[in-house]
Amino acid sequence: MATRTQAPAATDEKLYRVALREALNEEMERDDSVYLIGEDIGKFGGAYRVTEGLLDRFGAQRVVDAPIAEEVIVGCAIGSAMLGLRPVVELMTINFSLVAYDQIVNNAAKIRYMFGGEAKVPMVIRMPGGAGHQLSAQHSHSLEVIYGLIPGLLVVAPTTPEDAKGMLKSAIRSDNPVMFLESMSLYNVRGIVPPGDYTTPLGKAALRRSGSDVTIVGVSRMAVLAHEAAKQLEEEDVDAEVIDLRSIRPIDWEPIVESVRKTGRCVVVEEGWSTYGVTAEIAAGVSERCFDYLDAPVRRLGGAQVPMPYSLPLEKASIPTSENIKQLVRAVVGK
Amino acid sequence: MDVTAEVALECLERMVVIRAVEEGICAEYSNRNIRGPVHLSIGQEAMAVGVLNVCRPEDVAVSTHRDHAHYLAKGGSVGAMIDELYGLESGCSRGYGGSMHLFSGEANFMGASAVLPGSTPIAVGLGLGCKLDGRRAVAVGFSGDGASDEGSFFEALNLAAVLKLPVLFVCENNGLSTNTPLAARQAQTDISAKARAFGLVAANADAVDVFAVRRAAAEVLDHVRSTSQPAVLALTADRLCAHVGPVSTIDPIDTGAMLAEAANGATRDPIASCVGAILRDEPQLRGECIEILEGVPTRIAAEFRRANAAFEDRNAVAGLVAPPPPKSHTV
Ligand SMILES: Cc1ncc(C[n+]2csc(CCOP(=O)(O)OP(=O)(O)O)c2C)c(N)n1
Ligand SMILES: [Mg+2]
Repeated sequence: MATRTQAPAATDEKLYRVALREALNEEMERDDSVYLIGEDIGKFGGAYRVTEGLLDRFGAQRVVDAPIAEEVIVGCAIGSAMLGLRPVVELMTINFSLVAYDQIVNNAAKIRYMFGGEAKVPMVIRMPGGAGHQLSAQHSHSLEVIYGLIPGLLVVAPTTPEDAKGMLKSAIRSDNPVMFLESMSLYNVRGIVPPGDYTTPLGKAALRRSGSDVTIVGVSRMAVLAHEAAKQLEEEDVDAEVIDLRSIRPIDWEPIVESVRKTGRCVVVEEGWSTYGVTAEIAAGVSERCFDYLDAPVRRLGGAQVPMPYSLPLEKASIPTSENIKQLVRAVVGK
Repeated sequence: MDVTAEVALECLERMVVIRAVEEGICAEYSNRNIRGPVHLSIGQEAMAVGVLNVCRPEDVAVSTHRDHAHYLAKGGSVGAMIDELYGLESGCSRGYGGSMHLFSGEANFMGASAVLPGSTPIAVGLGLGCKLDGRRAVAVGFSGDGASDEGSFFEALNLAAVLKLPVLFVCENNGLSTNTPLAARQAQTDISAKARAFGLVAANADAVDVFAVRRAAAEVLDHVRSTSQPAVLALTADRLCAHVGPVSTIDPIDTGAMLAEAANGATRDPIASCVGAILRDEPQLRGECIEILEGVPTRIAAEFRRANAAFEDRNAVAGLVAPPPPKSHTV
């Protein structure tokens, strides 16, 4: 039963965080088995105010303020999911999810396969990552890859308000554990959110810009920067195609391969460490699938290979910028 | 007061140093030269000072995201801490760590870890190191009440007890984790009772009174040092500032107002409480108290001006050019 909670105008621009909140609101309305659990998500409305107002609306049974204990929060979500509930966990940042990594990797990801498909874990873990706020070494990393490498998980990173809402709805309705990776720097981004109840499929990349000279694949916020870089490169007569990866696991190879076969060149960008990174996987996959079409080696760009430093100039030097992307693209197209 | 005039003034001075640094951060943060999250210690100064005043220089300490008071009370350099907040190379962590990751090898302050309860398990290892090097030093692991929501907090207590390690776990209970009260997170809110269930000696103190903290800490430390067994000290006080950010909920130190507040027996301000205790028992120390209340903030303000100028200079000269990573970062 799909209940429409609000009917926003077709051109309604919304913040990324508000789009997420709408998805939670609507899914909780639609399905009583959906509940939220996390730190400071109820009374306080969440560290990034995504869950604001939901406690008042749905009550403490369905918006659970938990102790600061990520491992048991995730374990609790898993157990309840095995009995048919649909927990949506909020972790304050992906960095803290390391405390719960065992539960995520050894239980959430494995239960369905390990029990021969007899059990399932329909749950979502939402959490932001990303740097740029001088939060230093323990609060700034984009650890997408540590989930991307685990079979049994779906891992997505929406970059627009529209995708944030549509993909969160899909994630909640999925029967598999979904790692839903948000970005601290995107919460205040505005964008058009279609009216009514819609879902955006998981597992699909999105073409953000068509071009003929080079394919830029961006992961999470880097897809936004790649788009900016591509627009600026127009002035230099470089026509770049931009693909927003959106799904880190599984990787949607088809549009990437199709694009690289057309352009013959590929640059892959992530905010995390590119050695053993998401970009390493994409670069390897593109090389395997497009070898005969490539006019240049696939190039990767990632964050500096250090724990994020605090000092502003150091931090700036450690995060890829659209300028860095442009430089690499120029090198790849030979300009 | 059960301490000498010298110790009493030492405690007061340290607390005022901490408060003045925190107030300096509040005042300077708006210039946008200090950035990132700051978890201030306003209201909780007596916890760090009361405990570390009875520690020895060779004792080692670790802390959490709220580490300013611990660093300063352990004897970390004020100037190097302020430089760290400005992200300067002269900072105590050379600008790499920031507010949540202060470090001072010289002061045996082994840094601060900000993913809960990161430093509590590390305190166990520090205790092992202290035990093995035979100097009878003690490891002090500071944490908040929120850290004791995490499972490995209790794993740490257990391991320290099993291995008989000289660790003092100081649990600073301000009743809150970010915004969620302790009672909403723990069914048994008596941290000492839990510590005893794990086989540790435990004590409590009201940390508005620095001398009460000091007394309780001396007792448990004595036990830890003489038996090489861990203990827990559970302290309570109010956080008189925002969880994070440059926001104090009380007025900056003002000598007149502080002397008036010192007469208020129900004050929640540990500095006022300390001044009150001193003036009650040793009224002749009034001049010294006033000197501390006036002199320290002036000195600290000068440190901020110096660091701010260094920050502006660096930006003017170097722009946004990153200094090379420290040698330790290369293989
Ligand atoms: C594993 C982990 N989860 C969540 C956080 C976010 N966080 C930072 S400070 C804090 C509150 C901790 O409360 P407490 O330990 O009582 O220390 P206080 O801030 O009160 O001094 C939380 C939840 C974190 N740092 N680490
Ligand atoms: Mg607390």
